[in-house]
This record gives sequence, structure tokens and C-alpha cells, in this order.
Amino acid sequence: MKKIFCILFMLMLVTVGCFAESFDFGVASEKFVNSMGFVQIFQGDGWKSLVMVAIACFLLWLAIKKQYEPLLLLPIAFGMLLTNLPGANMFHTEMWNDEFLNPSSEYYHSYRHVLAEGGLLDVLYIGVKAGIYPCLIFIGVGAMTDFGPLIANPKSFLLGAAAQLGIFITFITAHALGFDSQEAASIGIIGGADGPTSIFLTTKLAPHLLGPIAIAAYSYMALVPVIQPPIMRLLTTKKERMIEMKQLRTVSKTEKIIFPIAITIVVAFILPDAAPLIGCLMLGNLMKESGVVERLAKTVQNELMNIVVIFLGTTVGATATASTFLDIKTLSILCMGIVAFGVATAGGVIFAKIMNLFLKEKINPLIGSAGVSAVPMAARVSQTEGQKANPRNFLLMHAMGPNVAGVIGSAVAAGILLSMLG
Amino acid sequence: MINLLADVVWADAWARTCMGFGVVFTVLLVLVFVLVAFGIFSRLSGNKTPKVAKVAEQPAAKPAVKPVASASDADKAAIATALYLYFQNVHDEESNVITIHHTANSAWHHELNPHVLTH
Repeated sequence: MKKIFCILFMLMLVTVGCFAESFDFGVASEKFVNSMGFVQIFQGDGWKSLVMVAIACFLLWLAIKKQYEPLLLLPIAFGMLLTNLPGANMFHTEMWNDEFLNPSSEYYHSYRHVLAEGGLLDVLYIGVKAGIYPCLIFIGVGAMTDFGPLIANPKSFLLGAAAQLGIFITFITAHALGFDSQEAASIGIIGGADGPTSIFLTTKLAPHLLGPIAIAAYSYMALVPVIQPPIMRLLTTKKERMIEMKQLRTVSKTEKIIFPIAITIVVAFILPDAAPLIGCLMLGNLMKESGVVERLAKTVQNELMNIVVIFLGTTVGATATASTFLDIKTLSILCMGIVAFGVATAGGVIFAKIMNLFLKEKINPLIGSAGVSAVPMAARVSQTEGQKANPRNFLLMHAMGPNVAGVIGSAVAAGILLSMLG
Repeated sequence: MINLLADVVWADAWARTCMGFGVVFTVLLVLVFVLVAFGIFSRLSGNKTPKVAKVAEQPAAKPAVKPVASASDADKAAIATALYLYFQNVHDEESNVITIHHTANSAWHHELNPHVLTH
């Protein structure tokens, strides 16, 4: 045994000796040291990566410790961490921004180039860029959504429409702050409180803002129970919050089956740009309500949804590089995101009060705030606030109507913005 | 760069805002009409919930238990707990874990009863 080791050791010495002429230990060690992340942090704008790593860790803390939308915030934050590791080159922003979007580049809209030269995150990002992931998520969302409360009370659609005011007020505000129309529309859609819709529209109109917009949308969605109640209380009297609503009528299975088909046809005929989102949402819902494809419905609700969420979250997080994120624009987007949520909430509540002027059976204005999507958190906030004013108040199912109408409303808003500015 | 209130074509921006919000409202209003029409059609085609009125006309059966005007919170909690236990079958659930305690003076013990094992 000792002899074998001696022979191997001698062979190694001979090999090293052979290569020693071409091997410069000084150059190699310098290269190695320069490639280290610790060193790159102190070179040029390397400190920005350190700031981004800190932000990613903060978001991870929010997702794990505070449980703020952890299903999405965790992969987004980790994607952000991966992309900002100095020297790791996990995601190539220049490949997407400088080459893919530049009409004069030979790689303009070339997915082949991305597949050949890109890393794992670049390849997965194709799904975001092509608008595939948001639509797949919408199939899952549709399969998990019960449109019964909306069918039972069609007036809820108007509350869902009113809450889209946040999108358009933010659109005009972003304009005032100097963002161009495409950027302003992408920022405005945060007010729709719908992550997949925000990502879908931003990838089409302002892909360079995807990181900040996705993070703002998901962070504020998690903060719905904090943002909405003060606005709801400010805009309503205690008497209004105490209004009890009648139980909703029973919705037949036939109605639930025809609903997704009818909505798809009507919306797509009026606004074809909204068809991908609405179509996928309604496909998922039809799978669930028809009851004949239980296996498919379960798959889109669980496996498909989970896989796509991982891909979407990680790659969207990866777009938040130091060069695109650490900018005054990001701060403006974060500020306008909160304005968008606030105005959307106010829009729903105020419109519910206006509706009460004309309705015989009054509705509780608190359900108007659920018109921002954020399903089902916004509806839960309406329920909680309603019960605080009147413990006998059960608003959850009534609020689910505007809540799911908000999903349709924000998809329609994305469609109209896309048709005007795309 | 962000230029506050600079170079904005306000007429365009407002036109897009109004048109966008107007279209969203119109589309959802159309959907309201579609659903209302659908509800009416569904009712006309006999897709109704079971009639309750006829049941009320029949003479009411004598209740087996004297109705209580309103149950207290404690009563409701007790009923809910009883129902939960009943449906979960946890009131007489066994652990289903069999534990064998080895005892030194067992008749099967090898050292104490070598004859039994060698038979």
C-alpha cells in the first residue's frame, strides 16, 4: 500500500513539474483573488451588490419571519440574492436589456441566443418574457376561485370596476413624475393588486421596471390588512359599517359552468388584448366547476401553480439587479404603489356609498374595498372591519363578489392599457 | 431622469386615463347585464331553488324538544364541541399503539424457562 502511494506521489510531482513552465502561480492566485465576491464588492459599483444582498435578506426575513406573501416573496427575494452575488453571473441583464430589446442588435428578440448563451435563470426568464407564467398562474387562480358570490350579486362587478380607479390615478401621477406612458401604465397596474397581471403588463410595456414593480405589487398585497382599514374607517361612518346584508341566493351548477364561458366570450369580443389573462382565468374556473376534469383541476391548483410560482418568483427577483433597482425611479415606484393601493381602496368604498344612494337594499360600503383584487385578503379585511362595527355582521361572502370582480377588472384594465400603449 | 411635471402631454394623458377607466367600467357594466340576463333566463327556465312556501302551509309537527329562544355562547360552544367530537370520532379513539413490556419473570423468558423454549 505504501509503495502505491509513493508511486502516485512521484507521478504527481512529475506532472506538476511538466506543467510548471506554463503555470504562473502569481497570475493564477491574482486571478483567483480578483474573482472572489469579497474583492469585487470593493471594485467600482460593487458596493451596490452588497446593498442589494442586504435588501434581499430583508425581504427573506419579511417572507419567513413575518410571513408576508411567503409563497412569492421568498422565491423573489432569493432570486434577487442570486442575481446580485458579485461575480456569480447567474442572470445576464445585458442579454435581455441591451441585446434582446435592441432592434439594431443581431440578437433582437432571439430566444435561441438566450438558450445558447444564457444561464439557468436566463432560460427560465423566457417564460416571463413571453408572458407564459402569469397566464399559467391565472389558470390555477381560476381553478381556486369561486365566482358564486359574484354570480349571485352581479352588482359586485361595479365595485370591482370602481376599485380600478387606483390604476388610472397612479397612471396619471406617474406621468406627472416624468415616467413615459408605458412606464406609467406598468406602475399604475400595481393598483390592481394582482401580481400576475402586473408582471404580464410590465413585461409587455416596461420590462426594465419588472423587478421593482413585482416587488412593490407583492409587498403591498401582503400589507393589505395594514393599508386598507384606516382608509375604510376614514371614508365611512359607524352607521354605514354596521349595515347588515341579506344572505346571497344559491347559485346553480349550470350558472357556474356557463359563467366562465360567457365571460370569456364577452370580454374577448370587446377587448381581445385581455383575452390571454381572462381566458386562462376562466379556463381554470371551468375545469373546477364542470367537475368532469377533476384531475386537471387538482393539477393546475397544486403542481402546475407551485412549479410556475417557483420559476416566476425566482426569475422576477433576478431582474432586480443593482443597476436597475438602486435608482430614484424605484423609490418613486414604491411610493406610487402605496398611492395606487390607497386610491383603489377609496374608489371601491366611495362607489359603494354612491350605489347606496340608488339602492333599496343598502350595501355595506366596506365591501367596496375588496374590489382591489388581493384575493381573499381584501375580502377578509372587509369582514374583520364589519365585525368590529357590528359583531353580527358577516360580510365575507358579500365581499368575495367585488373581490373576484376585481381580478377580472384588473385583467380588463391591463388589456385596455396594452391595447392603447402596446 | 425624472422631470417633475415636465414634458407631459397632459391632454393625451388625461384622454388615456378617462378612456381606460371608461372602458373598464363599460366592460364590467356589460358583464353585469349579462349576468342579470342570465339570472332571469335561468329562473324562467325553471332552474329555481326548492320552494319553501308550500312547506310553510302544512301543519307544523309538534317539536320533540321545546324550542329555546336563544342559546347562550356557552351552549353554542358545547354544541359545536359535541358535533366536532362526534364527526371526528375522537371521543372513544384508541391510540392504536401496542407496547410490549418485557418482564423478567415471563413464562417465555429464555433464561428462566429454558425447557419451554427447547421443546
